[in-house]
Amino acid sequence: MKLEKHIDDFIRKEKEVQVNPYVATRVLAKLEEQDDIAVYGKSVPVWKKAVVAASIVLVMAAGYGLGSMVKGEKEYIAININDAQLENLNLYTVIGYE
Amino acid sequence: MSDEQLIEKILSGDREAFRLLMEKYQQRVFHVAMGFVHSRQDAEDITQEVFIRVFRSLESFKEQSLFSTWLYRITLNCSINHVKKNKRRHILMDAGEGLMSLFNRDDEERNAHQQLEATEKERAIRKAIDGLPGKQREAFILSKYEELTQREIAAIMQTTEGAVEQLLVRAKKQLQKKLAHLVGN
Repeated sequence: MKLEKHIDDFIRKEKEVQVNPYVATRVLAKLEEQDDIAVYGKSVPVWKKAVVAASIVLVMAAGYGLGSMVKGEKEYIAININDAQLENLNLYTVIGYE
Repeated sequence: MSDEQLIEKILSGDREAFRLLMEKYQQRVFHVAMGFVHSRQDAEDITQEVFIRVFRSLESFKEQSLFSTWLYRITLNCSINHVKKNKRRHILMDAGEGLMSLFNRDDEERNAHQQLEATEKERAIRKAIDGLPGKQREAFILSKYEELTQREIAAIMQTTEGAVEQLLVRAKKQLQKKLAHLVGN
């Protein structure tokens, strides 16, 4: 029948279209991408967060404790902060100086 | 390598086995998708979506049916969802194609006329297939685009062979009714 031939021709034409050979590669890439997102976006359990916070506090306390244990003699150095002994800038600003 | 062996390998983490499985079935999935969307780009999108879904739910595949039956079922679902989601876009594309076919006339009027006639014929057939009721359309596409037997279609659509036969007969009648004007040409 003529109509069936029209329909069959149309379907045959559509079936001649070949799928892109890279579809499989694209699917695998998408799966990897989704896996990465899943790993990255995974929520961290509360106990892990608590352990991290506790270890930071522990390290700070240990640092403070160790620092307080150090006792030695301190040497003092006198520093001259008398302005009068600094270089006299007038030497450069006085007019007609020779 | 059989489907069962490939599935076993995939489940143990072998992605190369999944590539082999995809390469074995991608053209079939693509044909069915083409039957629903009639566009290479859209059919490829559906093919990708189908295989991603297969990979994600392969663990739930119980091997009570053939893998191909399960795959075709997923393909039907994805295609139907895609058509529903892009309904508005397809209406616009259809209208656009109609206008393009009017503007793209060649200088030789006879060739242009023939070309226009062929385009119109294809458009009418596409519209008639797309206008088939859900189950008739599914059965028709599986039968014509994949040349599956009524038994295979029945297994995919989870119905009886008799029901599939009825669906195909009704689909054929619907198409004859909708495309009667083409026979006169």
